[in-house]
Amino acid sequence: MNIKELIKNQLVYFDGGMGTLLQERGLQPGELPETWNILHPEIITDIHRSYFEAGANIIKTNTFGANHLKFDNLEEIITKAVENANKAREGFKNAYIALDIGPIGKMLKPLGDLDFEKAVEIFAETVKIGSKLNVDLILIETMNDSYETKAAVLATKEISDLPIFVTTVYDENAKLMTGANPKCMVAILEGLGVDALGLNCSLGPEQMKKIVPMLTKEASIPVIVNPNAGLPRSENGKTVYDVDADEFSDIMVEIAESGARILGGCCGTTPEFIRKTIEKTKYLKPKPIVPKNTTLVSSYTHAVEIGPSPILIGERINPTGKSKFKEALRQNNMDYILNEGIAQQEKGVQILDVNVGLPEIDEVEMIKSAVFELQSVIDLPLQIDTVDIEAMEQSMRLYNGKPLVNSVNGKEKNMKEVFPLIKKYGGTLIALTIDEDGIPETVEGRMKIAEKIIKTAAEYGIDKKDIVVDPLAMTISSDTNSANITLETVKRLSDMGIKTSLGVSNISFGLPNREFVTSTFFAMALQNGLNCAIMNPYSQEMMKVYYCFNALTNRDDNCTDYINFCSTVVTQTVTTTSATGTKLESNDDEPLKKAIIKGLKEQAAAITAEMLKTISPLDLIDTQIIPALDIVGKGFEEKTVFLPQLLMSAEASKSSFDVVKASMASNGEASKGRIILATVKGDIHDIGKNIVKVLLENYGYEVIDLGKDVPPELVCETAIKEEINLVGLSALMTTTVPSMEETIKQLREKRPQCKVVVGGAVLTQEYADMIGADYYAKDAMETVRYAEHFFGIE
Amino acid sequence: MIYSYSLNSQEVNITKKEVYRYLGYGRVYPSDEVTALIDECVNEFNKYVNYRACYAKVDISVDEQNEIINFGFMQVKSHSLTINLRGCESAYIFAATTGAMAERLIMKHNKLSALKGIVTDAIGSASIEDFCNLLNKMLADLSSQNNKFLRPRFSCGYGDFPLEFQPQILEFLDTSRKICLNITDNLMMTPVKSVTAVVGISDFPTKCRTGCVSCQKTDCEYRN
Repeated sequence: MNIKELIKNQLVYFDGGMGTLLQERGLQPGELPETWNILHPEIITDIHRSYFEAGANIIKTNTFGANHLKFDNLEEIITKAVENANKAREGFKNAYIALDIGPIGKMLKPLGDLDFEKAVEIFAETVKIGSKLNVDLILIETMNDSYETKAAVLATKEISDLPIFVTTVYDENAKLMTGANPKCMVAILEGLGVDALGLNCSLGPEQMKKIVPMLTKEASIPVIVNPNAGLPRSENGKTVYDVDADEFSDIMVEIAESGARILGGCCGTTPEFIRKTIEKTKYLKPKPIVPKNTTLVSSYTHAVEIGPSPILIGERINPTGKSKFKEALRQNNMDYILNEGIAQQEKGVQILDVNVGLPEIDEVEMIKSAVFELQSVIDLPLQIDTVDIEAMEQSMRLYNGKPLVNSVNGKEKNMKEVFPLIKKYGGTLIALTIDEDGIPETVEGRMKIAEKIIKTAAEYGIDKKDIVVDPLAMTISSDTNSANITLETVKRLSDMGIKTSLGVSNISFGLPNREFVTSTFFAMALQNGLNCAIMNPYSQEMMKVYYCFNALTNRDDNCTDYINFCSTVVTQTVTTTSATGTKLESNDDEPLKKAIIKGLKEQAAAITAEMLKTISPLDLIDTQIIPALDIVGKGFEEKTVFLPQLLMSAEASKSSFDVVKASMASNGEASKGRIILATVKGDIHDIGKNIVKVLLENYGYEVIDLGKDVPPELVCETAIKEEINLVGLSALMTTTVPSMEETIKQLREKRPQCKVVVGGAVLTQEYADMIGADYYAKDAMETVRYAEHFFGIE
Repeated sequence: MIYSYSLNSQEVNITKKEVYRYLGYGRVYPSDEVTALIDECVNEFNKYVNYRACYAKVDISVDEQNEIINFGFMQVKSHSLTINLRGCESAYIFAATTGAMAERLIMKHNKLSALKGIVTDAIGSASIEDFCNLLNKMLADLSSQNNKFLRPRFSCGYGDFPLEFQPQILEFLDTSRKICLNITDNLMMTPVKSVTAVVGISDFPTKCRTGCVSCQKTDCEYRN
């Protein structure tokens, strides 16, 4: 019987720990357990057999750390491991072998230096070898990171059709070390189509008991529970685990009763633990595994459920009609996109739409870097919004979570392209009611397309719950009946239990005071059952509708959210008052200078706006902003002002600059010079470089920020392409100074006129001389001074 | 055997004085604006931090003549470590981290505001030291039950104890699995706000200089 068949009807048992048993048999600290597959095959086989004898159905091959980073003889290690396991199962019925895959032992970017695709490759090597051999399933286990888990599952799916089981490591707070909660992991793993999921390691059964219901409540597939034997402690010089086999198996009964389907053990557990667990649970009637009808999307920390309450999808990361945004895209200005994301999160959206399509840019590369950067700093789920199938696939692949994908439509060709992506990478899909014949003008016509999409999705194995229908809001300025059609379609879909979404802003296109129409339409759509709205969270009218609707429909306990929202409305009034307050202060001598020196961001902006009524922008910069910055800069050099104060002043002057810029008719004010900044290859910490960037920008230089871990080639290419003559390089570790040296060497060859200033925690004048830098700057101000000197004499 | 140790944010009191020092304030007290910002950032940091450590006790032998210390799983030739571990027959090895979510917070601020970036980074540095101090104290208490005393903790990268031993220490303590602590190809630990160290176990108390005064880098800008 296939393992998937076996789980359907009964409780199934994994084996327990391997490491502790190997140590008892002489494995030395620091010795790699996998080498014993070759050195002591009889011991490995013996341990496996003892688990089958105890009644386990599935044993894990001794391949936890088997990847090609750790083993040159990977094929031999895995082949022997599977041989040993097969030898052990001779004579047993319903005895299965799981190819065991543990974490790589390196952190993925952005937290570490391992590329996502490189991680996929490493797992693929192991799976390629193991899946050819006689194993029944693949177990991906002890995963601390949702992203690495996704890499492992994808690698497996791309090579093998074997069932995939996945267990991750939760802490006492029911979170992975990298942040994901159980619901989030269910969303990601079910999206990827694994066959069973659960938890192992780190905790004992008592602590896991509390987490298991969080998984069984959400999961539509079997849940695996492989606890440790509690935590190790020392007793009379001997190591013991604090949970014995009796206590362990007692708690495993409760765990089985709460719905876990596959039981086993991890560190510290032995065949005795498994035997006792089986004895106590084998007569239990397994709790049925009920498919859950919840529509989930997720980031790498949490899942958002579409259905119970309206979901706001922030629409602002989209170039349509935004010249500044278009400019940012053309210049690859990720900071602009990140700030747009953060600002919307602060406004309260639950999902961020990401649309970076412009005819003149490479959308595939752009959406990949936008998704990567956004998920580096923002923990909201993303809606991948593109019509370019390649861009859709690449960004879904790279995404750390289960995305919302915008969109599919009723055209045969489109469905054929999009559905396989959802099946492969996981995702919830927005389905537009449009097909080869256009957008139907009737409710029936739109319903028909929705039904066709759902039916076709099912043929690909995609559940109805993962389709969210967008019945399309069209402006009432060209057809005054269009809102009626859309609203009625929302209602009909909602009555059928189909989830819905709308890009609500379209409804008012071409009309004056669009917010009035859009927000009223939004309220009507919510009343008709709308689940998601792609909307502008900066619109107070829209947010008002959202909070009022939740309060009025009993979705806001004690009206807390509504009251909090109102308090932000009040604050806005207060801000106006305080702006008036600063007006009084403007009688002071040089209030702007003072505000910048003191680092008062809001005040600096307010005073700037006030002063611009009587003084020209350029005068203001020359007589107020620059002198203030100089005072602070000199203070820093004389050690009377410290770094935080310097940066506070920098932020204040920036907010003042922003007001000045906005007031100037032409935006094209020339920069004092253009500089490349980069943290060198291998270095993943770029705090110092960012400080330099802020100050240089403050002093009027244009900075091309190449980020961290930057290969020498990219620095050279950019310097040539952008005709740059000054490059700043930063390194934090002694181990990365050689790549700084390499960068300088390549620059000397390819762009000899370029000067290089270096800095960073490990750098000294001696190092700088040794690697041939032009200048060593010991802090950010020194870099500014060098830039002034450089551009002054150039 | 490898043991685990973890604390929650309430159990670790982040030493503000150290935060000030990492921010470059020597003996000067920061302005009210700056201290207010630091307080705000500490509160936020505490929501993300996840203090975790693992440690093991190993037998060691110190060959004073050749300045080689044998830990079983690694052999280190180091003058400064030999001095530190002179007379010890065993030692604790530990690895401690503030966790991936704290790292993400630092990364986020660093991307969006250099000011909050440096402040949160300084808080991260201070907090991991505070956590290590508490872990050390726990180990000292444990040792004192057997009339043993601990030497000051010593990390690779200090003195002539090469950084190249870091991967072996992490591998030995199984940190990737136990506390999600890994290392890059260039030997930077990830999360960055992490510490590994060796702590000698001795039969007698030693008067050892610790902190800045014990360090030979006298031109360090963070020196007290």
